Amino acid sequence: MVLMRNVSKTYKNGVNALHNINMTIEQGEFVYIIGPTGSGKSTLIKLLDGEEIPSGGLVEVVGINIGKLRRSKIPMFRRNVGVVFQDYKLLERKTVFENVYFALEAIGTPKLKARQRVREILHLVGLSDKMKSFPEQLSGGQLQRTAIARAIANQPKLLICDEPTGNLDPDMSTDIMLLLEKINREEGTTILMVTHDITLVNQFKKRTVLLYDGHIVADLAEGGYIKNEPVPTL
Amino acid sequence: MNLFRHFKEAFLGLVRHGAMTVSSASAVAYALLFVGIFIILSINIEQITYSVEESVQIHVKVNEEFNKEEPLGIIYTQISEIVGVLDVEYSSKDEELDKLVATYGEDGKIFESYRGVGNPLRAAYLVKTNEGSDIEAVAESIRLIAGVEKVSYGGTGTVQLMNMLDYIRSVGYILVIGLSIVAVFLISNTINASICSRINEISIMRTVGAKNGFIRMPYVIEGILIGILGSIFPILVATMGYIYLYEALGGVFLAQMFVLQSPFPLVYYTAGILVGIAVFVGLIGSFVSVTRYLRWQR
Ligand SMILES: Nc1ncnc2c1ncn2[C@@H]1O[C@H](COP(=O)(O)OP(=O)(O)OP(=O)(O)O)[C@@H](O)[C@H]1O
Ligand SMILES: [Mg+2]
Repeated sequence: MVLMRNVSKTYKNGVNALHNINMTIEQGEFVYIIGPTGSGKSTLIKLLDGEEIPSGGLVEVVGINIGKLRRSKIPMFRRNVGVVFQDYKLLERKTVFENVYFALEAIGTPKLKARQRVREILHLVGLSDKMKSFPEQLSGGQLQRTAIARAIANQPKLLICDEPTGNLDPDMSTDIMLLLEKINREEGTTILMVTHDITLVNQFKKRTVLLYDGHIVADLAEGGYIKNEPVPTL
Repeated sequence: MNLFRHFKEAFLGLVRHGAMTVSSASAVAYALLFVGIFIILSINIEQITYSVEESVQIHVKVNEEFNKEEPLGIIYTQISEIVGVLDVEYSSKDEELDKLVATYGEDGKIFESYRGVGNPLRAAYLVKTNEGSDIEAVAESIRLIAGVEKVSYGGTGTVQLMNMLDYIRSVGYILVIGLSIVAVFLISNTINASICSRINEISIMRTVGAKNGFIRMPYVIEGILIGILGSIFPILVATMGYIYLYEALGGVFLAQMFVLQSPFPLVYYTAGILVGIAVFVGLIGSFVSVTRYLRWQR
């Protein structure tokens, strides 16, 4: 699903955000990416959704080489990858239903099929009774569930979440985690989740990749090391 | 594609930025008003220049002593070789007399006594030039030819008028191009604002994998609509104005020589050209804006 080999990323301003990253994610996996601020987590995500291209090494997502991905091919590629953000990025003037529908309309899904799929997906995330609500009428957890519904409406193979629980209290965070697990289990979606929330990581044990200063310093499968890169002096 | 959706979004954009839509459409309207006036003016100038050129020719009187060798003698050859000369026609003494008689109508009969060997008139060459503006220079050159007694033509007034019309036309072209560029710029600006207010929508569309064409479409339609909105007023003014003017002037300008173009189908052409420019300007303006925005990031 995801293959990174000797990947490095240097931004135009000379910042080295990632060094020699090696990582493989299989289909159906659920992986956390953790690390302190500025360690390169968002940069990693941008490489996976084609927003940035690697400065060195190979990045392959669903079999597509990101480094060689032409601009004109980006839209079709993106349909394989759903993204959820900490701040939801919902449209204020649209209802829950319309927000999800918007994503399907944007990729040309026929009207009837799109409506059908929106209802289905809102049922999956438990928002069937909130379809006609506007974002300002929802709680943080409901907002994030709407955003998740939008991200998976198109049934992407990979779902990337950048701190999806960053703005939520512990109860709501647990809710979202349960939902993500359900999506991972029922839809078979591969999930990559960036988080700062160590409590959550300990509560829902998954493979965990620790980034520090642009390096992968640990890659643990539910508590046990499966790989141990030379750890830089912290 | 989902045309209905794109139009709905485009109208939404127009309404959401009502003030900007109105201001850019009215600026486009002023620009197109100039363009419309210019088109009508230009087509009429073309017509007038043509008829003036038709009627203006150089009259070259041939000295009596050289007359025997003409019509196809040395003077004819020399005139023909001057740059800018289109056509040279010989007019014998008798023909010149015919014209003199004709000019005076009934009273002209008294000149009939000239006819015959004692005809005091001179044979002449009637010279036409390629361009109206060449007349002065060509006349000067002919004056220098030996055996030419007198050179006359429609007068400097006519030539100056034609030069002025020519000048107006070139200024008009520059004006039209300049104003079109201004219109593109204005529409582009409005579309930029429209994009700015929907930056979130665009970024979501990009994240979920909408194609650029899909993202671009509503904005391009919006730009075209602004252009078309801006073309309504100038089309009305230019069309009605010209029809009114034509009626008021009785179809001629100043003198019978300057016949105006009939309003129909001229006003239809003008309206068509204005709408065409409006659509084009809206298309370019909005396309530039969206494309610039979409290129900005991957
Ligand atoms: N577009 C950019 N241009 C230049 N430098 C950047 C850019 N984006 C990120 N960086 C730099 O790259 C490094 C890694 O940033 P990144 O956003 O990947 O960190 P992060 O782990 O997501 O941090 P946080 O937890 O705060 O979100 C930082 O030093 C940051 O300043
Ligand atoms: Mg980040």
